[in-house]
Order: sequence, then C-alpha cells, then structure tokens
Amino acid sequence: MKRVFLKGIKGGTGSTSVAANLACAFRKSNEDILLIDLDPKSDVGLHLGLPWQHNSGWSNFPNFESAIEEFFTDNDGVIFLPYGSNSLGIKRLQETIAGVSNLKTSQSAWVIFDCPNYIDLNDFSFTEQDIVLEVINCDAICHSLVYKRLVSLNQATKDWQHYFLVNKYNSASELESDLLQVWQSETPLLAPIHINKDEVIKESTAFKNVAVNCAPYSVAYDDFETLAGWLVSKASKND
Amino acid sequence: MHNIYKDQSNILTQYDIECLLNRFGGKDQSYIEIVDVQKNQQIFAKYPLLKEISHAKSISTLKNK
Repeated sequence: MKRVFLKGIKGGTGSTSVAANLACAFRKSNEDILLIDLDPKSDVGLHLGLPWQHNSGWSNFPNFESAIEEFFTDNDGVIFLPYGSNSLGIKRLQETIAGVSNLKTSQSAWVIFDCPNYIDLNDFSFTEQDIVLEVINCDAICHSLVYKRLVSLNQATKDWQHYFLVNKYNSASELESDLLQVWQSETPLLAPIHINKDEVIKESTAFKNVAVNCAPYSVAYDDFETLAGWLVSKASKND
Repeated sequence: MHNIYKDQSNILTQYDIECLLNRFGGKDQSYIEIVDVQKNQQIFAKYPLLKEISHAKSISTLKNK
C-alpha cells in the first residue's frame, strides 16, 4: 500500500479538489485507489457524487472497524470514506490512518488521505515510503509559510518524503509567475509539477464530479495525470 | 575572423551545458542547476514582504555558518 497525505499549508488551497482529481487520475490508469477524508469539512464525497444530505462517515462510529460500511465506490471505481459529522481529536485520526493501513489491499494499491490544514505532521507516525504533499498557492502568505515550514522541517526528525505542490497557478498573474520563478530556483522540496488554475475544477465540483469526467482534455486533468505519473515514479524508486 | 557565430538564444544547447559542467561541475556531478540570482533579487526588491523574508533568511544562513 502506497500512502499519500495531502494537506493545505493554510485553508482554501484546494487540497480536497487535488485529492479527488488525483484519485480519479490514478483510477483511470487502472490503479487501485482508496481516498480517505480526514477533514471535518467532510466534502470529499461531494466531488465523487455522494448526496449532499449524506452527512455520516467514519467519525460517526466508535471505531474504525465499525465504520467499514461507510466506504463508497464512485462511478469510476474510486473507493472513498467520508469523514462524517463528528468533530474528533488527533487520537481518532491516528487510529483511522492505522485502520486503513491495516486493510487487506493489493501491495500496489494507493491510499490518499485528505488531511485538514491544521494538523501537526509530527503527531503521526510516517514511514520513509510515505509521501506528504503540502498544497500551496502562489501568494505571499504561502511564500512566508513555506519558509517557516522549511525551518521546522529542518529542525524535526522527518521520516517522510515532503513536497510542496503549487495549486491553482495562474500564469497570467505577474505576482504568481514571479513567486513560481523564485520557488523553482530557490525552494527545496518543491514538486517539479504544478496544477494550473482551471475553471473546470470549480465547474466539475458543481456537477458533483471531477475534471476528467467533465472535461477530459482540460489543462487541469493533464496536470493531475502528470502528478499521478510523478508519484508513481517516486513510489517505484522506493520499491 | 572572430565571433562568426554568436549564440543569442536564451535556451542552452547541450554544448553550452557541457561547457558549464566542465567549468563548474565536479567529477561526480551529472547535472548543474542554473539559478538566475539577479532575476530573483529583482523580484525580491519589487515586493516588500518577499524582500523582508529574503533578508531574514540570509541573516539566519549567515548565523548558521
């Protein structure tokens, strides 16, 4: 099982959209994929066709084992687990991650965890094979947060593979292209690919779907395919 | 006759890269990273917050040395 943890460096970076679209890109390449919602916003299901009124998930059950019936499969075959409506502490998040990791799946299966932006990565036990993608936008606040994060990562005993992933990149913006130029040349741990801003992402969510099903030839979907390919190459290096 | 051919392109050719590798690379290095430091400094100068962060970063780098 290959584990990818997606979290925004701050709120609103679009990490849930990235998680849902990335899961679908993996599925289109015939990879087995599990998408686990660890964010109390509980909106992963909205990207994958779950009814808006469905508000239960793993957090509504006393433990992970009893929440197995809350797994759903979307039309593309992405298996996902909604968060639900209870606000839970860090211990239950840790238990759910452990529970998912102990599921009997094929070794080549991918698990994407959509994490809330406020979690402290040091509270979780990651392995060297785990990939953490911290989603950032090309703005000055993210620039500040990236440098603060780099300092904390340098001080921590980091086991996992950490990367910053630029999302919603608008190449027409002077500030964004300036920031990307600086990051690409000076910032360690920046993923070599970025997700371009594309109206399709917002539209596809309004249609309760992901970019590939609404606009299979969109720039955004191309980016997610490239991201999935890059993750596969990272994982094969681990093997 | 000198300067018959002058490369005006911004794109580095394989020959350019090999020349740079010979000049700056070591025996074990198979790649070099080219950073437009001047352009980055111009960007920092343009935005006060970026300038402040860059300044703080260079001070902490000096302290760590």
